[in-house]
Amino acid sequence: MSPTVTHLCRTLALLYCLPAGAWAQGTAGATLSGQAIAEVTRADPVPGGGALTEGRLVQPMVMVHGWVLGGRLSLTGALNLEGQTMPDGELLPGGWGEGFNDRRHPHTYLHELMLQGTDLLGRLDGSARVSVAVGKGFVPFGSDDPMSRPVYRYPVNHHLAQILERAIMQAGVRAGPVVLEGALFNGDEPERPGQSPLLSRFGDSWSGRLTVLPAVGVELSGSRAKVHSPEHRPGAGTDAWKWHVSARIDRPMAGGRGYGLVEWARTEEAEGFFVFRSLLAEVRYRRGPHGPYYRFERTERPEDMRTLDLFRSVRPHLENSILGTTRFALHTLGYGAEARLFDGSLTVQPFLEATIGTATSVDQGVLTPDILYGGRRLRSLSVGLRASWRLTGHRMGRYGGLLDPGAGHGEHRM
Amino acid sequence: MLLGLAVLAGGCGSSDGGPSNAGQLVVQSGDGQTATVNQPLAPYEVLVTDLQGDPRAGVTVRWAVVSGGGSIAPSTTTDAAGLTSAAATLGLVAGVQTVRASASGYSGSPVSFTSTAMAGQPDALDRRTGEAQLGKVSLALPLPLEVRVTDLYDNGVPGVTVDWSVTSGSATLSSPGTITNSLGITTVGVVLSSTPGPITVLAQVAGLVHTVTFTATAVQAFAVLGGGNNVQERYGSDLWVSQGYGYSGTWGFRGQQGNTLKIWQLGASGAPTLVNAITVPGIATVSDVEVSPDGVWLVFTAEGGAGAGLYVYELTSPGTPVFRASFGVSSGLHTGSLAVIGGKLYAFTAKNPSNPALNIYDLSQAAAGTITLAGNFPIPPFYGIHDTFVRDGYAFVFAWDEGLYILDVGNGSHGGSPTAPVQVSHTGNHNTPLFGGQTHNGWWFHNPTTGEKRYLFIGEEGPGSIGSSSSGDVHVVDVSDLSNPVEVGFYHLNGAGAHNLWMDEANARLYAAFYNGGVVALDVSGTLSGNLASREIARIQPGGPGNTYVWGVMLYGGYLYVSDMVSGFWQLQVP
Repeated sequence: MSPTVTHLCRTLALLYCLPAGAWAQGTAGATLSGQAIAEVTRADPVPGGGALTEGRLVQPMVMVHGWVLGGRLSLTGALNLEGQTMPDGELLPGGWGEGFNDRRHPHTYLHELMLQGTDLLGRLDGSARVSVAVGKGFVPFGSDDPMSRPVYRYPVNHHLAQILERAIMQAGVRAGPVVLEGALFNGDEPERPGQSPLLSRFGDSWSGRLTVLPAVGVELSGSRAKVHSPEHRPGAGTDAWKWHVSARIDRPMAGGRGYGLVEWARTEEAEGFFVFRSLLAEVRYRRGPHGPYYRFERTERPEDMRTLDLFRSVRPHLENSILGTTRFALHTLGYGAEARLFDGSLTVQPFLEATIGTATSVDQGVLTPDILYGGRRLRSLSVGLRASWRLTGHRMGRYGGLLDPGAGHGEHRM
Repeated sequence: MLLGLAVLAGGCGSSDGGPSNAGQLVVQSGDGQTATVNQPLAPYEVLVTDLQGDPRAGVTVRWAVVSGGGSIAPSTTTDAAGLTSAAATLGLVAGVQTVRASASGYSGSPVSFTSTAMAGQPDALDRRTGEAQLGKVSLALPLPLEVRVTDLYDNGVPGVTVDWSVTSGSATLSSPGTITNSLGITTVGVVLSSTPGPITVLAQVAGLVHTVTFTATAVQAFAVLGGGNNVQERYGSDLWVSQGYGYSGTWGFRGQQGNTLKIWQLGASGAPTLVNAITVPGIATVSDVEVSPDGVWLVFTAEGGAGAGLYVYELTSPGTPVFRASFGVSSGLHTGSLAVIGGKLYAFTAKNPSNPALNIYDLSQAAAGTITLAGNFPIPPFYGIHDTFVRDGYAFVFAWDEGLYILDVGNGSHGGSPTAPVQVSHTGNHNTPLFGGQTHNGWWFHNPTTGEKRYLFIGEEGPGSIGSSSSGDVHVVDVSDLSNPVEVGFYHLNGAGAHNLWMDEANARLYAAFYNGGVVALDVSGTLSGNLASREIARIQPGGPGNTYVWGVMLYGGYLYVSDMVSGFWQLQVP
């Protein structure tokens, strides 16, 4: 048994022994939660042509949240076991990042571990709230992690609209309906699940996000980030300048709960030589156990040099060229039904989700959809079961208690 | 007492007639004359009067040339009519001559005379610009031919007709006769004919014995002679041509993996015909191809997959290479350059990251199936080495962010050898990148005419979208001092970036692959500095716009062979 597996088994055993998933005493407390999704996806076509059907256990997560001093000081952690359950990634036409193409890469085992200080100035700053957070986690940029959104399928724009798994030092302030966050972090993307952020690169990248909350359940945000050499860990790669704006709504409506997100993202690399854009809109309406949802996105993806395995690209990079840019225009329609068991502590959510769309070459590079897939029309179908245990978690990337209570992603989880 | 002082003051007259009495000095005649340089003028004359306006005799007037040169009497004295004059001679420089006349104590003094000195008769005809140009056939020379007509004193003579004629070769002039401007300068445009070769243009002026000759050379544009659009199932990569055969690699994925080496037989006209191929399992790219100087060994490097590494084939029959040996390198080899050092054939290869290095392989036992790793020179892991150029026992290692390494690998100047390379210099690094910061490849130019080994040409591979766009310049580096290379010039092609280079050293021409920009030929004779845009001789996109992405070029048998990633293997006529 490999040291990694041994370590994971010990961790799981420890978690199993923890009592009941929640504990509180006085001004301190802790919660333990988790989730996993068993799914089968069929994608047609895949790189090299033809169709492929695969089953995976994805997003196996154990999350812990502990607090003292009435919540002024808290710790949020997430253990992600995808490195064990899907080491070769998850079938995802259009998906990319960290050396995977048309597959979603496994996240790092230590997905998130953030120490947060909330409302540090108490009454000294009146009604304002100042917070800081430090650790490994999500950079204050863009929208919520897809893992905490209704659509099961990860969007193509994941690496344009979120920045995650970095060593972060962040500060934020909320004054009335305005939240301002800024962070320093390391630019390097992880290359494998067991890899940690390169601390020698801490501070070579930054981000800022402004969020306005004009009404209950409504958020408008704009983000800017400069990420140094994200694709080359030693730091020789090109820098990325990123923009993101979004509008989000998540609140009760018409006897149920409605959720919607519209976002636009743009990433420039190599001083503007490459520009990748994304426009995404997704909605869901949940009433009782039923929750239909829909997403449209139009996102541009860089095509990297592939290995003999066309799902994988050459890492580390050897130069700053790409093989072209592909624009994915995808419609995803899904339905999930939720059932709560064991006094509501366990939630199971079977779902069915279909995606159709097109892939087109933007710049006539050498790796076009016609060459890669043998065509331009894409379709995929996923069926699965999401199981979550006491998952009322936070919104990944939103640290320091700056949002309103009840805005957590658990409110709209399938 | 006051009266006494007044008397004294009134009695203080001078011998030149002034200045005790107020009077006036005015120009009488001679102002505004025009004459030829160094020629006498009609006298300048002034009038001196007293306070009552009556002529005043005996007043000394001083004369001086203020500007424009020439000469004049230093002083003269007024006569009874109050008049005096001085004869001036114009200076040697065409232009305005100014003379000042003054009489001390007189109002109006000094007064000035101005005259204009005109250039003299044409005496000489000189060449200014336009000599020794290279121009493309059927097109105008880049610069007009320019001459200047001067007089005996080097003043430009305006209004002179210069007669032009083509005395050898074939060209059309913009006019048979042109007239000099105010500076004595005139130009004529030259449109070359469709016939390549030297031309001579004569400029002459009637009455002058001296004439001026201009020479220029009409060069052909690139022209496609053969090949092209002949590799459809794979993308192309590097090439080599030897013994009447071309060898070209393949790259990446185009429905099929780039795991094949194409073998082309060159016909009597040099046109390539595909006659064979070598397919290597377990690789994704044939990244570099070369034949040993003796023509015996075909060597290529490979990347991607379990088969990555170095491959050696014997060319007993050039059309049917026979596999002899390979050396696996799991991370792959990006390029390999061959050199014979100490009687042994070595391959200087670029080992890919994560631990990039110059790996030097001893191929002397390849016939027996053995390749030995002879030496290793690691570099920092910033994208790694891209290419190596080996000559005179020096290895020029092109290491991207880490710039240029020059290693003694057998020259002896620093005690280096293939088994123990010794660093001569390292120029640029990831903190202070040089040569554009994306140092890719190069060529050390040995000029056979002058014996000079001064210039290293470096290809910079900037960002690109392969198949459609690219960036990066050719950098000219002075390596007169190998321990201190200094960039002295560059060539930039808008919208395209440099890749591999080849030189026609005898003719001082650099052929550069420029990806989507095609192929560019540069004149690199003489001293190079600054922007080499004017050195461009010709360029071509062999496959046309949208169907050109040139990886590399090689001159062989008077033709330029081109490996284009998109459109295959081409034969070009060179300019």
